[in-house]
Amino acid sequence: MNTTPIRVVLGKVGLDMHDIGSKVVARGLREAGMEVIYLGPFQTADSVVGAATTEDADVVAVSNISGEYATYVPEIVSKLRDRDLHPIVIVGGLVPDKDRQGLIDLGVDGVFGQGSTIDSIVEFIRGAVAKRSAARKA
Amino acid sequence: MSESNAASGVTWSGIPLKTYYGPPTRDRNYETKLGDPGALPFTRAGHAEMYRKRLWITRQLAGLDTAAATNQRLRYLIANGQTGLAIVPDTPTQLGLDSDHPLGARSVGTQGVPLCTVEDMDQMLEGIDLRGITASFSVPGASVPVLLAQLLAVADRRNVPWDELRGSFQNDPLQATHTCYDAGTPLELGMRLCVDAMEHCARHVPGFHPTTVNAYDLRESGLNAAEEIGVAISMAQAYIEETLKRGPTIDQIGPGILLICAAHIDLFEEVAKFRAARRIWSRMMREHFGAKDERTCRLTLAVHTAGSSLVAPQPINNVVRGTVEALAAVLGGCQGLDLSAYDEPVDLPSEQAAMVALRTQQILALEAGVANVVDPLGGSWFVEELTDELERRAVAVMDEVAALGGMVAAAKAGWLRRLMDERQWQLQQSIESGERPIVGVNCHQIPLEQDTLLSFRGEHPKPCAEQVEIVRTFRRRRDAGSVRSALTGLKSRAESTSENLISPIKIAVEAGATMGEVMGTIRQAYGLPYDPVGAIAAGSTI
Repeated sequence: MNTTPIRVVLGKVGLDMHDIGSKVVARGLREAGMEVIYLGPFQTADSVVGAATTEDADVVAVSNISGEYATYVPEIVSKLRDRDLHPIVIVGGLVPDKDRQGLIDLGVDGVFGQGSTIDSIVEFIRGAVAKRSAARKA
Repeated sequence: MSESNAASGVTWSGIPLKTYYGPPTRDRNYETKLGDPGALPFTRAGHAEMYRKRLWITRQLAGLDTAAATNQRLRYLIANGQTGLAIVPDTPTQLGLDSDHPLGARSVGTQGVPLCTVEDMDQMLEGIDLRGITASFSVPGASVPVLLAQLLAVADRRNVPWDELRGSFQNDPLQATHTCYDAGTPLELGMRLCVDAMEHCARHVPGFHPTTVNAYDLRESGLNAAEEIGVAISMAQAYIEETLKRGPTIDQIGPGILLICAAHIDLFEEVAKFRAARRIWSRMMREHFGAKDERTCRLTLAVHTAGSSLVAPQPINNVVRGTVEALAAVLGGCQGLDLSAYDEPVDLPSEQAAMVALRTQQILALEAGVANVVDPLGGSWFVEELTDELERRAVAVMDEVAALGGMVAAAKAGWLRRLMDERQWQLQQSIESGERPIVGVNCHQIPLEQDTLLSFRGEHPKPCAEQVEIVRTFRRRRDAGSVRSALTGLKSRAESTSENLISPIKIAVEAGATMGEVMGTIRQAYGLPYDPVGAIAAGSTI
């Protein structure tokens, strides 16, 4: 059994300051035994990808409710690829249904909107990280 | 039929009603704890006749795309009977950045109205009589002095004397520092700017409320009802103490401070909370600050119904939640009310949702008869005991803050942040466990695909490119030399902590300085980076 904790870089992109959801998720992931590097609000693609690199993140999670994710998330995904980094990428906040598939097509692994439970996020992360590390070993 | 005669004084069946009811004899206990409406300690109500004389101010939060688009929304709401303005600026404006800032341009106009220049302020208020309406700005952070200066400049353009201006800012740095509205502004600078605005208004804009302590966001951040008012009143105390050091008296400052509270879904607890807040406030003003003027002791309450109580599933049900919460605000004797729009959990408020929220207020006012009798729940054994208990608990919170050395010291020690984090977590757990039932979320759910009421636009908000162009054009047309010289003057006055900055800021905005340029100049005077996110250099926009 793998006992190394899952490392999660979590932040809010853009100028949207509604940070309660992201703080509650950070706490929930910690309580579930993950290591969370909480970047707080006002992050950019560079600051998120920089943190993901130095922290050797298994998961990069960004939250936003003002639509700014629509420009930041593609940038983050592309900058991660440029650096040959392949963490699980999660988007949280207010994401209209019709945007979700677009984000998944872009390479985002999961989208968790309003009303998502902590348990569902934890379960998703554990599954996705396990699947990715199994794929790497294969 | 209009709001001016909302209170008919009779029931629908024709039974005549008194303005208020009370015990057959007023004993000492009644006079000390309750008092008649309009009498100290104002537990029952701030005014004797309340809504019979003047209905609460109805307003709905507005702010979108550009100043011109927001002007349309405001005029639409006024045309439909709204009696006050509730304006929310966009995130760049809140944070003191320009609409064309590299990060600002990605969120401009998405969560409020861009008020980057004095022209934006003027255009947003075009065709609106500043003498005839109160303008409430939902801005807690350090950009308040710039917006105040813009507003005063617009009043000058229209020859409206400053003492005829009515409205409010939040101007609440202690709250801003806990809710991310303080980017690039350390608490010391935030407090100085807050007190500058309070002092300036106490001396020159006496009818305006420069500070509305934002209890609402504290509640939205997870605090319970007693903590909401206990922490907020402790914050008010900190602002008053700082402003008194400048020389104005408590009776000059006191009437200028409001509280904006949340109205949450627990009807009776909320009513008791508003009553307890008025009692605590009047005692603080008299006993702690030695206020003589009754207006200082009378807490004016603005209320916003709780956005956090609204949920995405089966969203039309949020209209019902808003109605219960608005009822709590009215039964609790608020002076101004705005409802979170029913589509807020999934979208920025649409015109239709803003209209339903306004109509909810009007139905309460004109149909439900709740404007007839002041403090209708006063004397209820239940509500009086709940009021006493809310007071006890809120005072315990205030004592805890005082023991930490006051709200500024408590904030710096991380006390409030820890409390908020803990409460947010407990709230989430109580929802996930079902301990706190929320219809449609953890009980009475329907499958998402059957949720036919979830028929919103389904578009994410998009930054307003038009506003970026408006600001760029504005820059090209202004006189760069005048802007530079006004900013140089502002900088030297900001370096001296004893100077009030409102006048030099007004000179700068009138010369054409933008929000980001003014705030950047003040930050520089404090040895801080010109741009809090490090994207642009000082002077690069002039």
